[in-house]
Amino acid sequence: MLLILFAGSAVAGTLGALAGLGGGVLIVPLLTVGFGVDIRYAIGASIVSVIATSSGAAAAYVRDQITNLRVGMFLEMATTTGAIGGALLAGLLHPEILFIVFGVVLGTSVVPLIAHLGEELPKGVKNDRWAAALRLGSDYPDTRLGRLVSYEVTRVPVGLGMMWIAGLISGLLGIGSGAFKVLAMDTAMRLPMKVSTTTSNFMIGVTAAASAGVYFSRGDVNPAIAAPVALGVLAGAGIGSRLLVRLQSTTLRKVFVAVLLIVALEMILRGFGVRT
Amino acid sequence: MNRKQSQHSASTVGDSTVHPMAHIISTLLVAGVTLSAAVLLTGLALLAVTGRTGYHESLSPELILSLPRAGAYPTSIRGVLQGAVELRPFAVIELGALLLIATPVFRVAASIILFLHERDYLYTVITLVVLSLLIISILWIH
Repeated sequence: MLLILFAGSAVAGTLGALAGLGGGVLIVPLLTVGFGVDIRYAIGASIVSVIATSSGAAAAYVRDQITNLRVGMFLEMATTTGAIGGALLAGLLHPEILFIVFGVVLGTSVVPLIAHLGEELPKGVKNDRWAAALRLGSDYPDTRLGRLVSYEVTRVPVGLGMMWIAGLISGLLGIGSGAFKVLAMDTAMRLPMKVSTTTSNFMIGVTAAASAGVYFSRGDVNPAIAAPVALGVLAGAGIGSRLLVRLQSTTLRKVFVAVLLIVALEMILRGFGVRT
Repeated sequence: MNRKQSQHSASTVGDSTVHPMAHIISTLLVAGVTLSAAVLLTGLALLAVTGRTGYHESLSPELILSLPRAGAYPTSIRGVLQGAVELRPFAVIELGALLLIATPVFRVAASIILFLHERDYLYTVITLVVLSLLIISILWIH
């Protein structure tokens, strides 16, 4: 049983790292639908594994110099505030309603991603006032293109607002909400896809840490589940981060869109009480 | 070379040396995750060898699939530390989980020192705000 939990989590961890997701959105359905684990413990194991994915993969990304530390740290002010708000809201709101709302938001967010699908790197992006003042623009070495890619950052207030919502959902549902973080950086702030996914992975751990303590003290981190799941996700994240550097942004985007659609559908169905 | 120039060259990758800040944060993350994983593995090994959780219940599918009784494992930092010293398998695993939760917090704390070292005061303040928010969230629980 512990070995099966480990193996399943390893697969979820690989996919999570590739798509810039925390792995939590894949872990919760895996544990509840796949193994029949109570949702409370699925969420508790998920939040711990989310931190494992983020920290494990982010360490590799920082060395690759793709992660934008300034963008990450600035936006973490919004995600941690949101996560605390989400943890407080958790006791007040019906989770089904939020599953449906978030599922719909994720589903519609796929449209601009598909429209950009052929685009390797965003073009014609100019720093807005915020990005200039905060020195958010930077560059990264693209190993596939074999050159240094410079980029600027736009619509910072919109990105910051989306990040607050991402933090809120993370705190509420015990997931990393990496999909929403990538969306904020990719579609609103127009960062290159690789920078968005790696910076998202880097931020997820801090966001998750803001709410993980709540789950721990509630007794939702069951050691019999959390240990094999966290170790499995860690192993998967290692594989995913190695694959990521070698993959094209276009390939990455297609994987991301597919994962996003499946998760969106699953969340909506779940909100209506349908167990697939 | 003035400060602005040195900052620019530090963020440029053309010189092929890894930015020292990125290197330190990366090392810290690896150390935190490796330590957590080692503690989690130790806990699992103890569980497998002794066949005991160290608390009321023994390891069974019911413990994984349904709601365990209160006291099946420690849920406070103090309880985890006490149990881990006594080498109770479930407490050792929970210590690993706590270390994992602490890793991002230490990463943020290290970033403050490193931004200060770079004399990047704007980002020192931004990072301090993030750390304060994390500490507030932890204090909220207790």
